[in-house]
Amino acid sequence: MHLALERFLIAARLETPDQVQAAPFATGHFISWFAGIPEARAIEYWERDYRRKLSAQLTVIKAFPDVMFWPGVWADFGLAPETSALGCEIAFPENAPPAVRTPAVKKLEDIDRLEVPDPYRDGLMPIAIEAYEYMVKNIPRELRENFGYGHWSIAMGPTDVAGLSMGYDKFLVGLYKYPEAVHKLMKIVTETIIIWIKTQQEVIGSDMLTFIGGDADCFLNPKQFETFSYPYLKQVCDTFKRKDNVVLYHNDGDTTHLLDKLRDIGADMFNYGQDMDTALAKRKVGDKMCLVGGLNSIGVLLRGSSDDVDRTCKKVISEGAQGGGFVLSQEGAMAAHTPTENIWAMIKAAEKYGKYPLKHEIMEDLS
Amino acid sequence: MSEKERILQALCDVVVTLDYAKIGEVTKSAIQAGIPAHEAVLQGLAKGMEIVGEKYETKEYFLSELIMAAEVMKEAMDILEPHLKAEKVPGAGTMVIGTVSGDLHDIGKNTVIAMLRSAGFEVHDLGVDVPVEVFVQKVREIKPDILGMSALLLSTMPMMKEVVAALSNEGLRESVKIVIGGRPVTQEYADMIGADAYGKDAVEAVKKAHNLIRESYSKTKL
Repeated sequence: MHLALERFLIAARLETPDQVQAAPFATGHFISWFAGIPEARAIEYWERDYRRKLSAQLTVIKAFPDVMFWPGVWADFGLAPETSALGCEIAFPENAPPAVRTPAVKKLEDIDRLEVPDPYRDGLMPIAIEAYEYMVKNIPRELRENFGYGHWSIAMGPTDVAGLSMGYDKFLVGLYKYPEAVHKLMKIVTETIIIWIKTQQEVIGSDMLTFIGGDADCFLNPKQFETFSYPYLKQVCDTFKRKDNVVLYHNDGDTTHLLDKLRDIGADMFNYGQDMDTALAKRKVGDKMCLVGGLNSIGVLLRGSSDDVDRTCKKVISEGAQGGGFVLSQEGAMAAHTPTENIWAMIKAAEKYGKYPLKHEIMEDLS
Repeated sequence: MSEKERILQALCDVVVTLDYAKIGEVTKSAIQAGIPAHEAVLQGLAKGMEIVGEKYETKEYFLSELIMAAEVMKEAMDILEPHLKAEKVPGAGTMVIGTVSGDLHDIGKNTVIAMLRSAGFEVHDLGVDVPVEVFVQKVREIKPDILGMSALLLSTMPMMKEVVAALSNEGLRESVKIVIGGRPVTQEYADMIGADAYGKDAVEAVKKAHNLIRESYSKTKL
């Protein structure tokens, strides 16, 4: 019998573990609420007190023993480390994660003044580094070894960091009007992401698991993705892809129109978006990337019944898990108020329907 | 095809093809040909935006095209604005819009604004992270036909309910229609908090805004 992390890593190699691993994707939205921090005061989780943050993360982890959450234990400053280091003004709302209030690039000339940040000096990166140092020292060893906690390095993808640093509407208009300036920005942003991930890996002492969040890629049409995002995204993935580690690309938007190109970015795992067709994603990218997802975090996991969760899990396992290369998760991080029974329904469904070889009835659902 | 029809078609085409290099020249040619500015908008540019919206709905176009089409339209409107004022043609309606308190996401809201302006609405953008009391104050001050609220986060979505409640407490709820949207928002949520409409994306939000204006107008006539 494989352990949770083993199943995750075997699936990432497009192989078949003993069963499909259920791995809920949890960030501060769910974690802070579950740990009892009032939603109106969610800032108590998101702000700089990383001791409290780790305590909240461990509260979730300990409430679901044997379940592998991902990323599990991490600095969790939302989109703020990369954007703040590039010079964006960050706001910490009382009831939500930190976010960009004022982009760093207000006019095109500002791009010429941008510099690749020093992670030990710029923006929120130093505090995130401190958080990682503290967390890695204080995670129980068995959790780190068996579940991969403290092994994740995390960054947003080039399109997201560039879009936030410039303001998305200006960035998207720039694709048409100022393509050279956009490429210049993408180059700086890509170097920023690479140095940020390398720094995290040094601090946590591991390059086992790398998360790259590319939600904004779904804003682009296929040609724009190929021209403005793909080369940079691939550069990031190629920098960190090695034989025995995992690069996971996350995009919780609809990337159906990008699948033909996304398959070649060099990531091992693809956490695909809300309401995408698992069968289609499997056909298009399943021979290159392990699919991670299948459950709508709001429509099914939050608002559905445990029967809805069970039914959806059965369907997506039938569509995505044949031949291995599948992890049951959500198409976006879990929301506050997600019922505990629905999380358990997801975990039980992976045991019930996801044991390899998949049962005949599961495969019949596919036909 | 008459000269006027040709120019109106060209205005529509440059919006659909996102041809920002040509929009200035074609818009000026409409003015030089004596085409009233409101006709250039309604029978040229707006038709182009309608086609862009259809292409977005059928996934032939994506968000980048939607934003760029609005940018092209904006360049044309900058040229037409003084002429529109001189013609004193009533707009499609007035809308106050913002992203709710705690939420700093603006891409959805900005897309809706661009589409609304293209459709002839006068839009007052309150920005992001807008406190409940500012929504109320602006409704009182501007007296818009519609109030629009956006939220990307599930954790900030409840602020919409607070705004609706605050408007009721202040006796302003009946004076304004409310349309809401954003990733976690649903029709059920809109019904639950007593909003008048929900738009699943920018294109639908603009359609719903038009419908709300039409309904209000019919009721006034009755």
